[in-house]
Amino acid sequence: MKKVFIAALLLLVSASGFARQPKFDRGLGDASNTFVPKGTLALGASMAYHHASVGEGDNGYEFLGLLTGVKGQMTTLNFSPAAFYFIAPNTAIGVRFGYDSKIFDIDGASLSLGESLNMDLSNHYAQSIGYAGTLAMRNYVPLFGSKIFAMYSEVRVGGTKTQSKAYSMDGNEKNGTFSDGYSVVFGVYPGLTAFVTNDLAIEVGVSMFECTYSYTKQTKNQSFTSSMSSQGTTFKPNILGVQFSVMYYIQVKR
Amino acid sequence: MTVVALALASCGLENDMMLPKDEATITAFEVEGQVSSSINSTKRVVTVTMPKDEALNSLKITKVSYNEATINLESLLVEGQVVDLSDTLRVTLKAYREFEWKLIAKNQEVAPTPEPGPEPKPEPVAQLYNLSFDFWSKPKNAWFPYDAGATDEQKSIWATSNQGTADILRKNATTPEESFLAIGGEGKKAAKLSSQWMVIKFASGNLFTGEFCGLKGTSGADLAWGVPYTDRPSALHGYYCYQPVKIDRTDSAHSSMKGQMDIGQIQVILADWDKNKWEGYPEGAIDEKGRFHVINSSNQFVDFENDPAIIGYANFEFDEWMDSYQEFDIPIVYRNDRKPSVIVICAASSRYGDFFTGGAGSVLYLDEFVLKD
Repeated sequence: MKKVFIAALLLLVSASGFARQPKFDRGLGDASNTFVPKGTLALGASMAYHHASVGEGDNGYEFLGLLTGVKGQMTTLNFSPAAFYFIAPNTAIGVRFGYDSKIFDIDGASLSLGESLNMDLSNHYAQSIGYAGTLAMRNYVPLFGSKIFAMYSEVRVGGTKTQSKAYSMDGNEKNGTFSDGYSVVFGVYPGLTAFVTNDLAIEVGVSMFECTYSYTKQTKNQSFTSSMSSQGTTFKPNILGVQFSVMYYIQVKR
Repeated sequence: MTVVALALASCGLENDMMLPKDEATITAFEVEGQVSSSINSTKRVVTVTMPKDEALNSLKITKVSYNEATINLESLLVEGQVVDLSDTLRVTLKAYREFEWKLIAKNQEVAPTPEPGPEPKPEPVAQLYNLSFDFWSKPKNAWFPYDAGATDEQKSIWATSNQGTADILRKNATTPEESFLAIGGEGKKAAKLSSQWMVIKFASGNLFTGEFCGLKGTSGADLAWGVPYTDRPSALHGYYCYQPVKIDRTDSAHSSMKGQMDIGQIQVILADWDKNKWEGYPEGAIDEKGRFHVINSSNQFVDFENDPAIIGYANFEFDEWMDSYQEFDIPIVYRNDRKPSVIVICAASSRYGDFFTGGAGSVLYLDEFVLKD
């Protein structure tokens, strides 16, 4: 009975082509066109560094007359190299590594909301370092049969470890918290890539789907502990997570 | 790029936060046959006074207790233990950190018999309730300088600004001190005035006779100075210990004082403020009860030099760091022969606290006040 039903269905499908009209083509080209051949090694990296120093001089820097006496500095460094190997045309597996470091020092700052309402924001320091390791698999779909432009979809499984501390100075001692955090992430990250030379491509990717679990253990003044855990799934583009990077393709095996 | 190199070189962060500052203290210590014992928690010294010629090498502890923060109690001195205090005994107490305490015993020196003096005056001057600062209560968040069972009249004598700061900011600038006392004993306490940064403003530790009438916005308070009093004491006697820090908070008018050592102050005013009798005061400065309303946000202060209602005045200011209590005797200088209607005794751990100027961390201990005949 089941076989009869399937046969009837196939007949119906084939009958739908009775008009024998050509299939509507969107002009995207054939996804099986080779965009990157098998045996190619792709190396890439993205990096960001930012340093700001505020308030050297007499009274500290002033913002809009509200935030006064600002003295401090901020440094952020983010570095994430990646390596992929194409195990088949347009399909690559690879690893990503991430390093993230942030330092915020507010030596002095005061929020003035009027003659009689001042809030002292001085003496706050924060520092964090994070490492991430990820396994990834990528599939490219060339656009319009192009060998220059392609969409890709990357699936990642990885984990991060972060350490951070936030404190204020009490004489020569640091009064505050120290945190150890771990997280695991599974996600899908689509993007667009474009070759600018024969071997060099720039790409932009965005987080589309993510499952995360994180756990952070915090210790205050080496004596009092607390923890925070969170898990969740998001299925929407994370605009803040748009990432630009550069990839260099080397043909290592024909 | 140095920063980049440094950031890359640091593979992990070190947990170098400080340990909590909770102190381990001895809260009570007595030995068999003692004359007295005293505890100085600031210096971490327990002093036991034994009768003259009593041996100090074998003293049996009859009472010893530690504060809540102290841990490892099993390794510490216990009641019933016999200790040798012929030489200073050093004991290490532990909370999160280690604190070394010294236990000292000494023999009582027999004081020479006082020569018979003149007969005491038949009518000594009246004393105010809680001049000894032994009575305190904390019904909610604020400390009040009176006993929980005090009468309304007793409650109306001493005031602080605690009720203006404790509920909102959970901070008390004036608190009872139980271990560091001028004169120890059962149930004895002292007043501890601590200048503090109160989230948005600097506040001096303060204690005065009168009423705290409320905060005036975020920039001041209304303090009604004065409680009924009709005698003419010659001086205010008591004990004080001042531990100032340098002035680190000022308003714009006193910014030049930054970096100077903070100043503590004790004042006594005997006056007969009466809005029907005297003129020239700001509107509402003197109320029905003959009290003067000090409102710092309106710049309404007592004119100590020229106020015609002031009958007697005494002012004592100090800025030296002290390790222990010192006795003081502040003579009250009378300007006329009138009989006062109110007395103001006012103390502050920061002299310019009314102008939000002082050192956060200055502490003034006060104990055992007496109005002298």
